[in-house]
Amino acid sequence: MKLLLPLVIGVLFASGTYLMLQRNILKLVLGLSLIGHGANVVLISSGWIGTGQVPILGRDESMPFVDPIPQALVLTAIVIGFAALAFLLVLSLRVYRDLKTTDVAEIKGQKG
Amino acid sequence: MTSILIIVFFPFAASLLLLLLSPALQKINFGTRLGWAISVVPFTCVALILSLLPGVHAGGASTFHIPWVPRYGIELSFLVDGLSILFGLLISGIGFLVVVYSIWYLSEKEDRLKFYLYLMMFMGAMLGVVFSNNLFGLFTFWELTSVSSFMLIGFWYHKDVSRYGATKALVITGVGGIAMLAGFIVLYSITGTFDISEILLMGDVIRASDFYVPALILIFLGCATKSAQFPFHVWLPNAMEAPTPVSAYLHSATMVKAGIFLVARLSPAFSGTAFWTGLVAGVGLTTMVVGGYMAIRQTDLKGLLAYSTISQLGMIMAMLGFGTQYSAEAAIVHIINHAGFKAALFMIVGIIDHGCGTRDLTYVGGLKKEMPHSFKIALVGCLSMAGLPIFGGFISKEMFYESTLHMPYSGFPYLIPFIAVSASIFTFAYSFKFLIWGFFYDAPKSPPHHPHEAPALGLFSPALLAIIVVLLGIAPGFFAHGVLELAASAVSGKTADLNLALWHGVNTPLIMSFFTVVIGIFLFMRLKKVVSVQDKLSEKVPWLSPNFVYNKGFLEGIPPLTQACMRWFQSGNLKQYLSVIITFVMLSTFGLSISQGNPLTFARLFQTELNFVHLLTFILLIVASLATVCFKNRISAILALGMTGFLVAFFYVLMGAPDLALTQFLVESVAVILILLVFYFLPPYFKEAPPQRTKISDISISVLVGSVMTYYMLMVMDSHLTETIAGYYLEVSEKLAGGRNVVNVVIVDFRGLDTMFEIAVFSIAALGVYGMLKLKKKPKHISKVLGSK
Amino acid sequence: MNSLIFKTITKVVSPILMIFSLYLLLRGHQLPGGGFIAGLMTSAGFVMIYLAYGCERFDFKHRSRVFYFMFSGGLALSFLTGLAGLFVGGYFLKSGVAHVEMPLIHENWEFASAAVFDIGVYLVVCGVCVSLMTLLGEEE
Repeated sequence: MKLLLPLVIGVLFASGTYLMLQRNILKLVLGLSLIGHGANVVLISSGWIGTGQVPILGRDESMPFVDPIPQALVLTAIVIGFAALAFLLVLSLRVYRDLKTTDVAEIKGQKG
Repeated sequence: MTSILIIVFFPFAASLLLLLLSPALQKINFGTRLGWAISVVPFTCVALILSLLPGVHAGGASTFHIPWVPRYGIELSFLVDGLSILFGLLISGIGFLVVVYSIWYLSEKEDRLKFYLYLMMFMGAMLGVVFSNNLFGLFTFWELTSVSSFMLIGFWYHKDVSRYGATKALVITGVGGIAMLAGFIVLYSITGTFDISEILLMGDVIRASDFYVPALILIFLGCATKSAQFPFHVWLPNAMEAPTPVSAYLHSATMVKAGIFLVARLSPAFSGTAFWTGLVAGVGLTTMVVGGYMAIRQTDLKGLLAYSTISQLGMIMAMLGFGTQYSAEAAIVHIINHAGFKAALFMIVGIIDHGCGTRDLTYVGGLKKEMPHSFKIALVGCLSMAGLPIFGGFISKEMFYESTLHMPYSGFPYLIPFIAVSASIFTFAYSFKFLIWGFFYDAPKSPPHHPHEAPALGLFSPALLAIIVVLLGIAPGFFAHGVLELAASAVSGKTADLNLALWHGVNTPLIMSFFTVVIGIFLFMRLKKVVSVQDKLSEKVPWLSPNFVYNKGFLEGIPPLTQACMRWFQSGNLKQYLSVIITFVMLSTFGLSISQGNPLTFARLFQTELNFVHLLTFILLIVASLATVCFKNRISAILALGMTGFLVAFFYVLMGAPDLALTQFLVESVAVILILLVFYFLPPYFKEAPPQRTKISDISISVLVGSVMTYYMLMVMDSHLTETIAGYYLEVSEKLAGGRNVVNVVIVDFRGLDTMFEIAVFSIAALGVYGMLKLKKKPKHISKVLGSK
Repeated sequence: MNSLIFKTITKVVSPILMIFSLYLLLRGHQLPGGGFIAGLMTSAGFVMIYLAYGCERFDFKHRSRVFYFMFSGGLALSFLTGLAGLFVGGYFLKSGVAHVEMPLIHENWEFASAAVFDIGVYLVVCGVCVSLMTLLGEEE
């Protein structure tokens, strides 16, 4: 399993990067979201110890607990990622309203 | 030792006080009273420095430390020895005279407040340079002198030439300053200290080091740019656009001597090698000849003095470069001589400028009648500059000749004296040009005003300097035993014993002087012809001048270059930015981890068993994320993204993170709805038909990112887990925070501050969205901001 | 979205979601839950109502201020918790736990100051999410 998980992370990052390199601003938003997932999975996987117990105290104390710190980190990351996503979405909406385009290359004015 | 603090910081305090009081002062008509009030500052400094002198006489050098960044040995520390006392007296003494002179010079219309503000800032910085005992303190003050000099040269900033001159000075001395900083760091790597008094004792270590040459070259670059040595001298003539008191103070007597000072200060640590002599004396002699050659061409009196200053600075630099004890003494003597006669002459030029409305020799001439007092002062100054007997200049020129005869490391024993004599011939010629053309010959054209003499207030400072110049010639022992011996022994590192006298009998230097005068008179007689030859030469080969390099190469060359760089790097194309950044980060970190990290062992990777639920989740995750990329329909792509999110949530369940799973699940639901809401307003995906090449590069960058991340993850999972701080949290969570859900306790309690900032960011995102949706501006404005159409 | 099925489901599910979210909020210190999750769940309830009924049942358009106050108030509440810690405990965000014997039911209840902080988080998350949605919904 430990061999497959890195591959999953690689695919998440690769597809996110590919989408970010496209000219459509919507694809950029989707790509960023995928990369966010990838990063969160990386953090959680680094705390993975195979068979671990949910870090909630007061039950069976015999089994080791999963590391709670990456979890706390990722929880905040998910929520911040959501805020960033919303912001980006509305930004692209505003860009479309004002510039009448969703093409990143056109926003810069390369195509006249 | 607190007096040293007062000496350095009193001018700064005065400057700051002027700045703070300027709103109030601007309302009242302070007239000349401001100048008189300011003159107290340099006067106090002179008195305090003189009070330090007996201590130095008795006990040698002393230091004073205030820690600043103790870890790196950076501190504010001051060194009081003969050299710093000599320069301190020059700076504050001439500073006092210049302030008095400026009371007359600056008219009502000028912004006197600003002038004194900058002048005091400069004085404090300069005193800081000469008294510093720490290389970093010295560097800080050094740069401050560059900045205040920039302000003062550009004092009449409405004139183009002033701005040009100010920028030129700042650019050249600033670049030199950076080189010097690098040199200091190299020096630190040799000695391990920034303390100057310690460095001076480590001369043998420094000279033996492999970094001796780079350290010397870098530090000398700083000194050479500051002291206007060839080929960096080009800024000094343009700096003459400053008001005359500034030229007299900064650009003849003090600031341009900072480079000389540093060379003198560090010469116990660096001098005594063939390389030192070749570099410092070579540059100095070249500068001396070039400065003299240029000076005889000038018709502008200030320009003449500027090139003469360059030439004289070259001479002092050359003497320091010879590296013998005698030449060090000669250099010290000439520093004070030059400061005296040159400041006086500058002030006379200011008086001529005031009286005639111009200082160009084509309009100005025959002033002997109209300006009798100025003439007397100019006579003293010029004869001393020309090196004629009974004046101080004669003594130091004789010493210069003497030291050229006995210099070490010279392959050609007659070459150096020959260069010295020919440069001094130029000196003789331009001194007489100043004197004879200005005061005896009639000018071809008449000046704008009829010339008139300055009042006593204007004549006071140059007259006092002229008296000192005479005293330096007829009673040199007074100065020599007072401070010059101490300064010379600080430079050479040995106890100096100066026996200065006008008459040493008939010896080689005297014969050299005789030839100098004879050929000098001959050159002066033929001056017009010589100048016309020079003009023709510079017309034919304009690229010979370093000014050409600065104007064409720097001013006209750098902007197109930076523009090209800007166009190349800041293309405004998001895709290009991303490609470059991603590729660079990936390749560099990957290379680093390959070269420094442990190789993969795969030892721990096979530990866990195959689990069907895990396998299915992973495969579905791969499929869903690829589907997000591949779907041509945007609704399908969004749903695929949502699918990825839900699968990630399920993955969190498998990883034993129920809080995360719940959060991810809810976020994904709300996010998908939000994305759909926004996409409702946006047009469908447009047809992208990128060229094949772009597509291939996109795919290869993505595959690169994917494989590097995979490799990292393999490395992370392969390595041994180190102890985390989780144990502590698990242990005390219930006891200290009363919570059993450790993740939540970490969020709201242990790392509560992070969470607070996070919800603040969250709220800011909402405010941003509100602003973007509610505030409507004209699209034209927005497009201007974004640089479109 | 004019679907009768969705409207009916919303009628049943959204109150349950909101009440359950409050439960998650309060138990968050001991079991999975907490301010972030509860806030998101409450806003999911609002999103459902909005999608099913628009402004029919709850006037999102004219009451959007409620949500602005919600998140700014939540931020203030969290900050004040921190300040209280500063004055009582000695440093910013110092937390404390108190065990109190409840009068009628004779149970030992636990009060943690972090729970108040968590309520602030809840208010911010919920307020921001619903504000985002209503802001976008108002667009033409």
